[in-house]
Amino acid sequence: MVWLNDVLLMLHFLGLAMGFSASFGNMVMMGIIAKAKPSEAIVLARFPPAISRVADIGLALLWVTGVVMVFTQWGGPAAMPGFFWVKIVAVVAMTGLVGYMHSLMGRAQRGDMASARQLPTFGRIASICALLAVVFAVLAFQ
Amino acid sequence: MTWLNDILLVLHFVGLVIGAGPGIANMVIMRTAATATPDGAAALRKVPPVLVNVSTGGVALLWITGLIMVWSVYGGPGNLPWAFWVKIVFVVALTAVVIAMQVTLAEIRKTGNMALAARMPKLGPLAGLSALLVVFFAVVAFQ
Repeated sequence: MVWLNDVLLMLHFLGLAMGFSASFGNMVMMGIIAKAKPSEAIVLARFPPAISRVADIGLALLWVTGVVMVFTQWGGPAAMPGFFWVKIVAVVAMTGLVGYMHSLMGRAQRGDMASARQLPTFGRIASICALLAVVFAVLAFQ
Repeated sequence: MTWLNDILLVLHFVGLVIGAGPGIANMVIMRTAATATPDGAAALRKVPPVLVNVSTGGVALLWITGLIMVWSVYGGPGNLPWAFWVKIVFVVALTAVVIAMQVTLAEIRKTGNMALAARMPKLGPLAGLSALLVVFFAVVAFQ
């Protein structure tokens, strides 16, 4: 089953890159939207919901491949090192934040500008959680 | 020096997501631009150059941390498995594609010839494919 674990780990890294694509894409886009003309800003505002769908797929890929590998590679959750559980706290926090950002995005699309203004802050916190997940993954599995 | 190798590996993964993430974002931008008005498409064209710069930083981080780890973790290139060298071929390919993107953007800035931008939709998927193969052979080499 070594090949299966290789494929799962590769998909896990792919999920990581897809998840981070939204962070970088949105950070750059928010800066450009802030300086754009109103007519341009309307078109540019179509990007964050589109890239968030990519990030959702990436996050789902991380969860599915991660949970499967806990069993195929480690023989179950009991065998996981301590830092793995710290990583999981960061992943759960990031997943919760992504869910909350979806609700903010829905409100923003209905014209709630206060929700739209909160999105970059929560995006940055979600990115920090993702980075912490990577740090604790290295500490757990290195 | 385990802590140093841990930091290097974290930075290597950060380099991976900085290098590959913007490529995925660029693909989404190109799809959005395809259905946008001319004004909107012009606005969207401001984004890829910034993202290419972010990607270049990621690839540079991958090279720096990767080269250091060849010695700090593996004791030199002689101790690395065959899959590592296949990975390096695709890292070189990824680097070449990122350089081609930077050259294209520099030419556009210099000449103002937007027709050169037609190269970018061809280079983007090449970068994505190279990054995917880098990850695949890294997993085979180090799993």
